[in-house]
Amino acid sequence: MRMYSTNGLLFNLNHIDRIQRLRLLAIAPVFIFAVLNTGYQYLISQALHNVTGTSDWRSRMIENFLGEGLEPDIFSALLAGLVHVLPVLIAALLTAGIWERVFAAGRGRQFDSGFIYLAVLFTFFMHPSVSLFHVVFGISFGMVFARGIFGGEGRSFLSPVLVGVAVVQISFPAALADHPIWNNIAGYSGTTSLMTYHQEGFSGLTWSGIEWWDAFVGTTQGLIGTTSVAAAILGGAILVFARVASLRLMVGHIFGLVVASIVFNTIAGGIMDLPWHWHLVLGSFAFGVIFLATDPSSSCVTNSGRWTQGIIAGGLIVLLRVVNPSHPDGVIPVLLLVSMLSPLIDHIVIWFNIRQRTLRHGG
Amino acid sequence: MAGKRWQTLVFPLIGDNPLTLQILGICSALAVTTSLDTALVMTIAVTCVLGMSGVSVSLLRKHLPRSIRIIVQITIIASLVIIVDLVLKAFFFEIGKRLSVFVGLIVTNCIVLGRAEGFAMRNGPLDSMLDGIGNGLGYGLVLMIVGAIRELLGHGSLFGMQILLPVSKGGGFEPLHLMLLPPSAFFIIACIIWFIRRKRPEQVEKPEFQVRLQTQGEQK
Repeated sequence: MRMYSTNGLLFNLNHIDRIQRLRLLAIAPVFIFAVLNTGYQYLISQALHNVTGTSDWRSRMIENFLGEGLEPDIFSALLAGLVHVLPVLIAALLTAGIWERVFAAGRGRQFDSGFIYLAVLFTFFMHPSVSLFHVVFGISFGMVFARGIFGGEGRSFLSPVLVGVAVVQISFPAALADHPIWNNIAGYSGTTSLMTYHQEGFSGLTWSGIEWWDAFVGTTQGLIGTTSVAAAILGGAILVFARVASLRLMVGHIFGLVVASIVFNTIAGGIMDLPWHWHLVLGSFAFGVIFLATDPSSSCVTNSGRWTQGIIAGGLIVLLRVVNPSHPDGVIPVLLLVSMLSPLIDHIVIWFNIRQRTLRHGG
Repeated sequence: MAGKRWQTLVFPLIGDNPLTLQILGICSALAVTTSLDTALVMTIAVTCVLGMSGVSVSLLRKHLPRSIRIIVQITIIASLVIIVDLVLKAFFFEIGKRLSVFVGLIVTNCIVLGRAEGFAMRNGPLDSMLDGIGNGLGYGLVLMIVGAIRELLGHGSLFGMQILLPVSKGGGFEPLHLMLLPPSAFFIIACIIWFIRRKRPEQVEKPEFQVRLQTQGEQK
């Protein structure tokens, strides 16, 4: 019983290996930028706070490798970034691989390499100074419950990455409170930029020296891989041109976000007046939408369903961002909620379609 | 006969556990298991109510008109729950306050009504009492396991005694906030069910429908 043919790896649109390779290719620009930006942010914030001799093992490792008082040039940024990103990535990869192996052996199934992509995505949603125990805990939860038990490659009703990240966010809400270097970064869930905005409004953003262009390119503090909208768009373009991800879904998200933020701008002031072009570039919106919301197994399969899902999710993200100050980012819970809704949306679309056709042809 | 009575008492512990096989009483299992002492008190309360309601319903079973039997059962159960609630308020006020509304909600616990309707209406008082106590203990067994896991991982303590020292007090243990939220009990109970059914495959339900794999001949 063969489900697919093995020839035509690049052209066979349904081949799972091709999809997996393309996904890894699409994530590559984000990865490169994530490493560089993490190192860069570390170096400038260390220079700013002038912290040396901290007990943090990452800082000690960087001091051992590079010495103290570094200039933030590209080479030291790369090394400092690797020191931050690689341990998280390796821990995530190992844990995910072990769970994949356990479930493959226990169920007599093929060992599937899709976990690599999941581990990389999970790494990008972690904070640079995340404790490795949190990484292992979160990705284990995602792999066991959202992939091993309820799902598998192409069958997950929730993305294992989102489940893992959500569990880390819920379980360790205050893990970063007293970190010497990254201490001005709020929580796992948000970025500094959104948090600053919530606390101090627009003057906070301009005071921190964040301009729209910085947020778009991604040279801001935040989660490891989600700061750069530009890199995410580059990866998203690869996915869309290879027809792995749905463009309708992405445009739907943007449309929902723009409409909802314009509505909030007109009805209220205060923290609700963040304009839509800022909503697009702050937080993990772009990254989450391009790489997680378009996961084909946990999103809608009908075209009208995709539009609907995108618009609902975009609107909900703005709603959560502006009316819930304790949760400045809001992307992860919304994406989880909407992927749970997606079979229902599909069901309604199909029901509606059947009714239309019945009416047209006199049932 | 003694062996059969023993079976009535012991069978609900694992073989016919109200929580893991009949999937009853999940609501209170999520609510009272944040710490071990509330789980223990809840276990005792539910076991008492189950045992006494078994006896009372069983004694009345031949005099109950069928049409109003549920009303009478609920009246009996509610009276017993009020007694338990008053006893808790009189002698264990602090813990009764922490259990809050969930002692009163034993009335609506499906296990109590389920045993009264399913067992006590057809069996003698002694058997019904043993069945009630067995079910209460089976419910309590799962409650205690879940409570122990949640309190240990959420607070680092058991029965309020600090076993793992949290980071905030200079130890190496990091409390899992997730364990203090009700959904964690869902995951723990699910894992317990999975473990039991792996050990006892006869508890696994038949699938409602079989997924048919597409074979070569059917491809068009």
